[in-house]
Amino acid sequence: MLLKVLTGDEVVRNAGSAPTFNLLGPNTTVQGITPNLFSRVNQSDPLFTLTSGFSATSVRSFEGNVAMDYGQSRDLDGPTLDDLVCEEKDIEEYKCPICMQILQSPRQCKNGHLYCALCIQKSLDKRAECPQCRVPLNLSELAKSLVAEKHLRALKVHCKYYLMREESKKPAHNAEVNWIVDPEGCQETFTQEEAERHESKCGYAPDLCMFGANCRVRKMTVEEHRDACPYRTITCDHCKKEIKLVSLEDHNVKCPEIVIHCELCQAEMKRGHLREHRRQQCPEEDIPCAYSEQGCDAQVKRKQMPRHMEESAASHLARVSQHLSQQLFQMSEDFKQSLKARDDKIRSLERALADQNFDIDWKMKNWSSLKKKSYLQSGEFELAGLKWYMGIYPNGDLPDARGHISLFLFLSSNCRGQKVGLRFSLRIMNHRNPNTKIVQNGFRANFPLVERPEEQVSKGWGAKRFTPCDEITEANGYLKDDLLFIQASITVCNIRWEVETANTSIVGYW
Amino acid sequence: MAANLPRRIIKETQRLVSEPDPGISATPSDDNLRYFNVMIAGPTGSPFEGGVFKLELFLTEEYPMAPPKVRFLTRIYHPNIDRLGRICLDILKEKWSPALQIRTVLLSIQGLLSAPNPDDPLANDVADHWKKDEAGAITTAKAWTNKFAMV
Ligand SMILES: [Zn+2]
Ligand SMILES: [Zn+2]
Ligand SMILES: [Zn+2]
Ligand SMILES: [Zn+2]
Ligand SMILES: [Zn+2]
Ligand SMILES: [Zn+2]
Ligand SMILES: [Zn+2]
Repeated sequence: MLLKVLTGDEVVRNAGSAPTFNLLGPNTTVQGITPNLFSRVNQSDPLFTLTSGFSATSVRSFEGNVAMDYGQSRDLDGPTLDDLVCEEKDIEEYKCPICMQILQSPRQCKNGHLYCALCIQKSLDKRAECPQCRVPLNLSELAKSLVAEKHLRALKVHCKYYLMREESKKPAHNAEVNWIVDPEGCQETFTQEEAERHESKCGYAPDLCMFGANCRVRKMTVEEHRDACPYRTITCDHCKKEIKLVSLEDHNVKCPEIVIHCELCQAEMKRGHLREHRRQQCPEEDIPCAYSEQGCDAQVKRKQMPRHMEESAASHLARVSQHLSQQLFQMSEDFKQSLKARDDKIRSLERALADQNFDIDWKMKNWSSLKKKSYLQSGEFELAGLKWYMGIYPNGDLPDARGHISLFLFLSSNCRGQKVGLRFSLRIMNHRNPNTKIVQNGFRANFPLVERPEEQVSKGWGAKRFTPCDEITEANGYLKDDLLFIQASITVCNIRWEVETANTSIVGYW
Repeated sequence: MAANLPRRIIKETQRLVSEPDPGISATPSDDNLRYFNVMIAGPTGSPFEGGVFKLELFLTEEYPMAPPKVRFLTRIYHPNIDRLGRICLDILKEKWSPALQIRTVLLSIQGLLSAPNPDDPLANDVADHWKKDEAGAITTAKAWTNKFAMV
């Protein structure tokens, strides 16, 4: 039971029922040793043996809350009794010689020397004597002093809200909080006994600003602060936005709805329109000449621009023409670049194509009757994007080739403007023995760029005297069931385009 | 960072400055408010008359439960003060009481200058000199005062 009393909470609660030395108001968290407890110890309570435990545990628990500064305010956040006492008369008698402050829970020696309970406990831990008269003394011999208690209770004190914390300008090693008179603080005085009751409802007690700012607000001014706080929110008369009062000045130089003057032309407008005005309308704004891109560096007021245009017409014209020719040159360079890129692409495609080899078969039934015609033509086939066909003259294409077969490869006449480099071979296959075919090999030809009338005759490539007509017999194996079998093997080496424009041939490229 | 200076020390310091005792001055150092520069004038009629003696005084963390540490910085020929300036005074040791103060300690030291006590010596040779030839010892003390303690 007694041990329980020694916990911090219990001490405070217990203090409520006993005469209390809570001299400092509602925030006081730790009391001195309660007189109640002490009297029981003094009456040789059966639990007296716990006193040693008492001094160990209770003092430690006090130290948890009370600074090592003996007798300093038990209310660590508030002023001490010494700060608040208003009659200095006779007060020296009630000061503790150890902490030199007004007694807290007074205790006395056998000879009546007074100390704070906490101060004398600490001293007795070191020396079992009264620090003043040196009479032998231990904890259990300490006595209360009803006279001192009564005097202390009757002490005239200020309300603790009479004082305010001094904003510390002192160096950190002297971090002592200084309490100074609050010029707007509570002026009430009363006895120490009445302090707690008053302070618990004192209107001068600090309170929190409802706008979360660090304002000095008191309980009694909380409501009026709602309309006075510089951090309260107001509505801008101009843009109707919610802003903090303290930022009004800032806002006023930014609010887009406030009417202002253009500082150049003095025209009136909303701030939000100024930028557009300056960009588009303001006659006094310096603007660059419309020919700046063409190299005119003039910067003149908008209103003077027409005159500049007039005065500089000739130079503008010269600039424009120079600029245009530069531009043309650049364009042509760009064009070349892009054509070159395209060409590169084509060349790579060509290369891919060129590696391909085509075999085209042309089989003619009833050769014995067909050979009486002067000319026979195969169906068209497509190769390298162009149309081709083969042609055969069974008895030579011209008189100088009579008695021979003429065999040609032709490019279809609608493929203008292109040249194709080919490697090809033409052969008449032997049905009996594939190795004895008649071959005309190694043709290399560029098929014509432009169809030229004089080349009409020979726009095909091949051989006028491919083979004597009488070679083609069943006996030789070149006919079987009257079927003649011709094969063309073609490799495309390159394709060239030539681009013609109206006046100039820009480039031929291959 | 040092702990808060206890109110008692602040109070004592204020009083030392505002109500100084005759012949005694104690000023806290600017960078450590627990360290005091002390000056004591040699008491009239003593062999130390006319001298000004410098001392240092330091308040430990335990103060006032433990006595201040005091030492003479000025050399002095005194049976209770040794060559290192250490003082043989009971209240600075076993007779310390937390009811004593800086002021009372300095007054006691001033008293010790007025009334050297060769029966409780710290400097044995000086004490012997004092007991055997008090006049000679006083002459030496005066000479030391002239030599070391004159400003
Ligand atoms: Zn005290
Ligand atoms: Zn006493
Ligand atoms: Zn009040
Ligand atoms: Zn506010
Ligand atoms: Zn606005
Ligand atoms: Zn303007
Ligand atoms: Zn221009």
